[in-house]
Amino acid sequence: MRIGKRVAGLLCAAAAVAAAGTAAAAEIKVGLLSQFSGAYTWWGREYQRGVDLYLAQRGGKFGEHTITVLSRDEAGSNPQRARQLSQELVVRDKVQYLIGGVFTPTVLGAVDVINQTRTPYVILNSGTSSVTDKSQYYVRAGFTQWTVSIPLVQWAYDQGMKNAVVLAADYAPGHDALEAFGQTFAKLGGKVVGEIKVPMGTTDFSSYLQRVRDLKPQAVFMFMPVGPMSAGMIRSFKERELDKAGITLLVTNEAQEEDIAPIGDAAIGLTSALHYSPYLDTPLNKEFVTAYKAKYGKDELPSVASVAAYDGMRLIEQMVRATGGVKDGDKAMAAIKGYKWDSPRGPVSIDPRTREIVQNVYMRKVEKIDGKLGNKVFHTYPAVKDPWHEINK
Amino acid sequence: MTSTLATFLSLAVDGIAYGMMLFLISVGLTITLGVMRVVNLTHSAFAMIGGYIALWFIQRAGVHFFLAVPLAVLATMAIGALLERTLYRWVYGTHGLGQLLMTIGLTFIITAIVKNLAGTQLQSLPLPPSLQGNFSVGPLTLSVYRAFLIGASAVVAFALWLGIERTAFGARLRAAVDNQRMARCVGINVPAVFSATFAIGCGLAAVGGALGSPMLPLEPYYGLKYLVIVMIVVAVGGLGSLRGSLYAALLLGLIDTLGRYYLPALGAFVIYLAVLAILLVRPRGLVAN
Repeated sequence: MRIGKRVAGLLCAAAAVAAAGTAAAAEIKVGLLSQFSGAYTWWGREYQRGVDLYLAQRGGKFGEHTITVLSRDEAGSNPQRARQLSQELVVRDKVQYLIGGVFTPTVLGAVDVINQTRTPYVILNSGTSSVTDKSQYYVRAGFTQWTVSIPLVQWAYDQGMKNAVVLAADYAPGHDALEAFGQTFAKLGGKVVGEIKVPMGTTDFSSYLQRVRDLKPQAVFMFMPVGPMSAGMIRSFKERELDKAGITLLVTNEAQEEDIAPIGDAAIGLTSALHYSPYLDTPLNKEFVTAYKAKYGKDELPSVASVAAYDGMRLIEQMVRATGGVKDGDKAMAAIKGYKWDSPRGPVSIDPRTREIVQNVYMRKVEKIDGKLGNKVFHTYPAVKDPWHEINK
Repeated sequence: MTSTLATFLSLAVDGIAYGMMLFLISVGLTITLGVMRVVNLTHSAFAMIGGYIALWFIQRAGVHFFLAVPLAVLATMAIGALLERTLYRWVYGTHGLGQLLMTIGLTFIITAIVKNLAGTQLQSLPLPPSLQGNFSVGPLTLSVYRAFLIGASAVVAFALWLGIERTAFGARLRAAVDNQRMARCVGINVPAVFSATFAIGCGLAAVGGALGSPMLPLEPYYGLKYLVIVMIVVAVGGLGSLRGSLYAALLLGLIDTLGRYYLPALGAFVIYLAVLAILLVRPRGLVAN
């Protein structure tokens, strides 16, 4: 007991010293919201890696200001918890910036907090375009589903695919994808011969693939939450030899290296549209991948999530420089509107009107690269603006 | 007209294969829950353990698929027997709630361990080339893997029926469950019989987990995620009835597969409606003991 008290006393003293020490230095706090537990832990790891890598390359400082990152676990798709965490971070921990967010509901959970406290929030994921309309303090460093869907459909049409089935998981983002794929394809002159909604949690796709086979389309546009459903669907598509029946499966996020590894060789040839590939052949990306591997292990590869976090920190650096380290949300947001830079994913900029990121979208094909399955880029759609905002001006 | 029939037939084969996989994965629970009267909510976690061990043998030790699966089954049986000796024996005598709490807790622990050992990403056993691809029977295109699954499950079902109905061990087990004291009096080593039976139940789960992984991919939350479907099969089949499990698994596999095709608007809900209907008509399951 007595020893316990003594230790506690020492800890208190140490904490006091530490607090005094940090108060003296110019310190800017950034709140990182992500999934650090549960089924989506991957996001937490990738965000943290992107953030840490960027900070490590800057020696932990933006100008003379020391940057401290406070990571918090959103623990699932829970808007209430996201709201509470963002409030604690901004009000109690005095963070000047928020970064992260995995699901649309968790990103939106922070909306009142950031509006009332004028705190910039750098969104790293959440494919829903309308999110950035909900607050002047949102800026996107990730992507939207529309941004990657439209080039995918365009590419398919240009290849002579004139009729297609749209297959999506039966939930809100899936319905968005159905709309994005279907509308665009019809506008180009293609014919959607079937819409298939797959219930969440489906693991056996035989019935849906039988329907695809019976509809005999040239292409299948697929959208599913990355995980059991997407992997199962891709594998079954190949197993059922629908590719040999002349049907092309086209995806967006589902072909990431992390997810195709368990699918195995069945993923070879899978075509996707996405705004990043770790195998993107540019000097800047090669440098980024080398740095990532040096820090996290030679078998590790960056992903859309770590790239988003890396670029997100760059946006925060820009905001910190513009405000001189003093909290001023409006000045900070003004500094990133129209901001351009070269990212590992290619040249990017922030659309001053919508605060959406403008970026290249790449057509990729899964190949065996150095003995591992990876996405090779074969066509680029340069500087794609979020199409949803362009349509709904 | 012929293509409509071909569609129906290939859906039927898919449904049967799915049903047979459900049978594999749930028949072990029929034995532990129905025959031994242990509310074993860890059952599908044992299926997951079997799947992961088979995967480990294939990927890390370079063992062939057809050897990796039996090895994984044996390993899972060993783990099952060990847990039975150390944990389960304490809850045999308690009421159902005690068993339920212990086994669901154990499932959480196994989930956490698997998460730390194998990571959260999805995994599935890489099928050997001999199980990949399709073959044609007339106008039908059938998957080799699904045909193999049907065959393998049929073998397991037959072996089980033989083992329980036609062997001395089966007779001892039935005696031990019906009347433990009497069984002891006639010289049956009841704890040993229980351990062996429990291990067999776990081994069966492991077969299902390993062979079924292309349909139910492995992940740390597997044990909780697929517990419902396993419980449904046992409940619809009738507690403790092997025959019932088989019928229920086949019926539910077919209903689910056909329902998703012909009633897409209801989607995955068809199976729950079917369960409701069956249990309303036969509250004690298809084959009541």
